[in-house]
Amino acid sequence: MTDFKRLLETLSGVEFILVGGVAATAHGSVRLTVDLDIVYRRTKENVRKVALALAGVNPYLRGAPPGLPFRWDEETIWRGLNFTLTTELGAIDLLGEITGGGGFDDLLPHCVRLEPFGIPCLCLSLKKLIQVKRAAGRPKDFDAVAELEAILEQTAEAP
Amino acid sequence: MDRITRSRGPASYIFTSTKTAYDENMADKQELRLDPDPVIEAYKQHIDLTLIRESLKLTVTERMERLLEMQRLAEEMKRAGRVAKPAR
Repeated sequence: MTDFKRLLETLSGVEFILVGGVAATAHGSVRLTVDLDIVYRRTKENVRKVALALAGVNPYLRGAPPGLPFRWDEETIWRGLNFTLTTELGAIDLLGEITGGGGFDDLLPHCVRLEPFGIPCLCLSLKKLIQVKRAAGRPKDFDAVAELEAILEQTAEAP
Repeated sequence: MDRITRSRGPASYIFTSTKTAYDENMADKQELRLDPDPVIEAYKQHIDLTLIRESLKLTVTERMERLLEMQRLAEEMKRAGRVAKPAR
């Protein structure tokens, strides 16, 4: 199980944008998701913050065999881009870029601000979330995109 | 404040340590156009709008708490499935 609240608290001070299933939940989706997907900003200062923030929850490559050498630090983040991790608080996808959306600075103009559990964070707007999920073109997302578009229609119809 | 809002407060509200802080001018500057996709339209026929309407009545935190509850239920059902025995 992923403790979304504690993961968000752990990421306090990090520049990131909520994307994926949790962002969909924030917009009203009723689908189950089990990981936290975030796009982090690839700046020196922020990469350092990401490394420090997650160091305390023992990140490890999700699905990798136990015992595989893996060092979590700034250098590892700079050498990679997108990381699918398991932590003591659950699964987190740490993304430098997403298909159809780009990186943090590309997505920033399409964010809304929200405070789940009283924790301020940025979340991809509903329209942009639909757009990037469409761009990914994965059949497994078709149902999710249909639900998000239905939410968009419902919110547009609301008084 | 718990519902989703566009940024209206001071730029320093979320990020105080960066030069390029998020501010209200950054929220959805570009109007996104979403043309209907026939595949998605077909999938949309099977969406339960009653569930969505109920969800939209909740705050963001309530939606996240419901997600945690769903996760707990899924874990419990998986556990129950592992130890399930034939009915007779």
